[in-house]
Amino acid sequence: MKKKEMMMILGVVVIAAVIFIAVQFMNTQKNKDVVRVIYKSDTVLEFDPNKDAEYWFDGSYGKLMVEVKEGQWRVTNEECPNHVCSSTGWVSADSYLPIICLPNEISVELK
Amino acid sequence: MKTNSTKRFVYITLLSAMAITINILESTLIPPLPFGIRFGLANIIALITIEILGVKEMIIVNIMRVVIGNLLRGLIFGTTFWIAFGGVALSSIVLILCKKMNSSLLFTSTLSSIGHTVGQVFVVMFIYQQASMIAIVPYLLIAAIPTGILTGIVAKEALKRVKV
Repeated sequence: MKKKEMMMILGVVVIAAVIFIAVQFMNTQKNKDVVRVIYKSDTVLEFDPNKDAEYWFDGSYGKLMVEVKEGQWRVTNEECPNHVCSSTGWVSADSYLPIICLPNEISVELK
Repeated sequence: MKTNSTKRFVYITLLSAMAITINILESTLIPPLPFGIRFGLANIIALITIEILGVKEMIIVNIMRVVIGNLLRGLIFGTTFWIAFGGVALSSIVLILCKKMNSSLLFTSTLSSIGHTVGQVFVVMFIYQQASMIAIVPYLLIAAIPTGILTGIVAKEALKRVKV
């Protein structure tokens, strides 16, 4: 690869880093005690991540379950083609990522 | 490459068939990685096509891959189709630009892999209006670089061995 090309690839890395830092900063502004489940653009449920529970939702494609345990939550038992949402795994307020299931149009995020 | 139209036609058909096969095999055999990261192995064929045939042929092969690939999986004109289409459209544009600039194959491959990711994210954001998607964009962008280099290396090795 030429030097100019390396610089362009490096530029993409920098852009990724900037977005990452911006998202991390935005997450610190969020309420850590309320997690909400959004279907299309409506909030269908808000739950407390410190209370263990299992919630079932009907998405555009099929059912999915949100499991809450010891301040962490994840999506399991989902009916969707790619299972991207469950491969995100457990997330918590400290290691936060929004869990998005595109076929079901459901996302689980901090308020 | 200067060839007669029959030979060109056969090449396009063969390459399209390979791209579609790789596309379907990849989505069924390789388990999904976190955030929906994929290798984009079918991009190898796009790279080989643009090198041995040219820009116009690459566009045909790429469109064939998305349309027939989704048709075979029964997903035609669904949201998955449009997401794939967005990715392929942008990665094809990037490929054409790189070809014009005479970039190295590895760079072309990496940049088109990034283009694929960006195109898909745009379509996803447009269709689903999910603003929180932005949180996983950095992971996708970073992952696009090694996967792009991988497909670039495979394409380079293949081109060494392919005689046209």
